[in-house]
Amino acid sequence: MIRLEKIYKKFGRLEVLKGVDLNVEKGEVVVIIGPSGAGKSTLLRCINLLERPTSGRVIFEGIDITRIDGRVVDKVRERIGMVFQHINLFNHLTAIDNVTLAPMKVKGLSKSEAEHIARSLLERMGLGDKLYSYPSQLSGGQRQRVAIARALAMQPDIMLFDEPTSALDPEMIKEVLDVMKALVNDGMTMVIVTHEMGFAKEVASRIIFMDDGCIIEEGTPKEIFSNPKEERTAMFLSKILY
Amino acid sequence: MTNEAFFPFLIGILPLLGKGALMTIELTIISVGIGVIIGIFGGIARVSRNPILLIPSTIYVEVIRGTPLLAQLFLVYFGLPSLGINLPPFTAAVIAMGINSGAYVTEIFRGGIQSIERGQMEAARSLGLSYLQAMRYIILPQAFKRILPPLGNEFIAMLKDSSLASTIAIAELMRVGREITSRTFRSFEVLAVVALLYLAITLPLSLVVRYTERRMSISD
Repeated sequence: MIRLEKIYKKFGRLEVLKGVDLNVEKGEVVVIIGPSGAGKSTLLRCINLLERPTSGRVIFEGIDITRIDGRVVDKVRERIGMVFQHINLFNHLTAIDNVTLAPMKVKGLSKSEAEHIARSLLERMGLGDKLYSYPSQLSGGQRQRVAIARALAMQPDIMLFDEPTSALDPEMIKEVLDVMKALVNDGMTMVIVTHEMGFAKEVASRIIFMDDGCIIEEGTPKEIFSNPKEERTAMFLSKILY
Repeated sequence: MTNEAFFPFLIGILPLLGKGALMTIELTIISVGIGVIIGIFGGIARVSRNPILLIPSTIYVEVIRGTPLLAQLFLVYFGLPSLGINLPPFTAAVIAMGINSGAYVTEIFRGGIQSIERGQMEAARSLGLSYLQAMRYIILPQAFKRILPPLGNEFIAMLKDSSLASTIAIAELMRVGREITSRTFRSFEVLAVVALLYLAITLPLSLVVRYTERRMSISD
């Protein structure tokens, strides 16, 4: 579904990605792990071109989207949902308006169609009683679930999660992971950057370990967690697994 | 100097001054209105990375802010006729003042847009909204709330600066005051009343500005 080829990304003189190749098939749940500064988030942001690779190709359904016109990139982004570490709900809109905005303005749905979709999504997220709350009136976990509903409302083919629980209080992490697990069970294609190793082990069809701008090792959760081939992977896991 | 007592004299000239004050308010509202329209687009241009937008908008702001409003006013009213463009005083005044205000409002919008966290734009773009849609539906509504206080200050500043329009024969508050002075020779009293009338308009406005500033610092 999505293929990244030889992705390099430089910020000034700092090289964050050093020739990364990544292939994500339909229905896969790819979890990217690794130390801070490894380039995990940057790689994820290259998939929907929030970050433009310095060189390399991003191929979405056969088309290299780094070479196409901006309007077509918008079209591609419609089909790639993203959830952010800092949540980024639209602060001036209620939960339901956060969810209906893009379907109405981008897809041209009517207000009632969009609200119908938004209502059922927010109910699925356990937020049926928070439709008209503003982000400032919601907890972090609730906000992140609204953000997931907002992305799902565009009916994307793939969902990107950029450390979705890293900014949350510990007691709110589970409610977000539960919602994500439900998506996995629905067969959604997902790429997830996370530090939640238990979750990664449980849902990943493939784990990718990144360090220093490169993919060091990839494999099934069992291969990576029980039997890492690379010393750097083993070192990282020994530091974070308690 | 006539010997009429101050209060009867004041009551006699108040209707004239009132009309002048209305003209001052009208001039200011139209000018700042033009300024806000310029400022929305100017502000967007000033945060653009596209040099075709960024460079002209930057030059506009620097030139307008770096030259006196009086010079701009004279250029439009006395200068343009030599190019064959004759404008009535009121039109010339709102054009000059609107363009002047636009430069300040552009900077107010630029600051407002830049004060919105980058993540808001990224979230909007990730959903497939275009840059301009993201500006219109996500960034500007939030920026607008934050810039209300500085916009109020700009209105107050322009209200006072509109007294410069008296130099091109517009019967606003300052001009009316000077005309009464030249008729009655009671300069101090008349000009003091004129100044107080400006204060009577600006003071409530600045109280409203301060109130909204305080309210917003709570809700944010």
